[in-house]
Amino acid sequence: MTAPAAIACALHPQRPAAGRCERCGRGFCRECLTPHAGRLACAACLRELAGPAAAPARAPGLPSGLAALLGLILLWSVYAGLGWGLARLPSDGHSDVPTPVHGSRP
Amino acid sequence: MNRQRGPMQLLEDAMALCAEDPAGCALQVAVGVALSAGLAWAQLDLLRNPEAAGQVGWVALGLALAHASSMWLQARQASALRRTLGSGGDAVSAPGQWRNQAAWQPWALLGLPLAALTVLGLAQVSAFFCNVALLDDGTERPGALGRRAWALAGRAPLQAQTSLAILAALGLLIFGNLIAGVFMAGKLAKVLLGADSVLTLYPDGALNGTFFILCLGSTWALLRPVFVAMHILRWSEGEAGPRGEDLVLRLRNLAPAPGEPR
Repeated sequence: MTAPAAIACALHPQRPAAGRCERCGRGFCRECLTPHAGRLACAACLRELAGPAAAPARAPGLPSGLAALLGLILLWSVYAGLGWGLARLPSDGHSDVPTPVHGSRP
Repeated sequence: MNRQRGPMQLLEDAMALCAEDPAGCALQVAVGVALSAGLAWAQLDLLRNPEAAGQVGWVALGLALAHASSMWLQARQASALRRTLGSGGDAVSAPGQWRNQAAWQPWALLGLPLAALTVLGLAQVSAFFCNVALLDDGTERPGALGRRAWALAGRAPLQAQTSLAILAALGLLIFGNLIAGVFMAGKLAKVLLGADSVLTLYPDGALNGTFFILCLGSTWALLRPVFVAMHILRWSEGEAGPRGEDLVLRLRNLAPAPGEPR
């Protein structure tokens, strides 16, 4: 009984296969096989297992337009609140009315 | 490679990164100063003009839109700096970016003062709002963007706190210099040209709320590009490092295309 001829790696014909992809059954060298979910798989099968490289799923949460509107309302509220607070100050009770330096005006 | 810089090295590298895009940084500073001037003008008008109280709503709306646009510009600038660094920022949706920034950045007006009360939390919260600007390419929903920005903000807390403290000290220095510079300019104008101004006629009155808003806002505008650049470098260390993007960048810098002059 003769020993079976060594199988070559499907991607690197000059290298002997170290194992088989447990999905497609082809032989691959050590570098071409990756453990995935407890099984060995080749790169092509891994890509299929991972699914198409679709656009990232939209995360749940507020749509950006609505969130932006809420943000703008918050900004407006802060500025308007500050503004109404300032407008209520008595006009002679703040430091923005400059006091002339003695003798600098006729 | 995932080298973590010391705080001084981080600030030095951030300033070098800003120097790569001087026009963008100058525009960002100009918009920040203009926004501060708008705030100062609104404050002064409300204090002096008895009719202004009836227009508070419209003035607040204008300031809110200007603020949101300035935050969007900050995000645009962050994308430009990321491109300079070679770490993405290429495909950006401008409307999406504007919406995301308008959704998140206003909360900084509440979040930052609250975080400042805890002192140590300020670094992480300020990093969060900066990360929201630099990670945003306009394609994500605000929730997902916020989660990524928060995760990144918690990275290397000591580095964030120390560099923020150094930046705050630098800000204090700039603030003092701005006040001194404005007063000296007024005095110089009086001595050299004989021109009187509010700074020479009413030196006590000139040190008022409007003046401080303008100087504080200008200090913030001057430091903001460095702050953004600093967090881009932190992002590059933290998020790009494990994905190998920093190595790709290094290889790109080492190996120019054939025939391309270095």
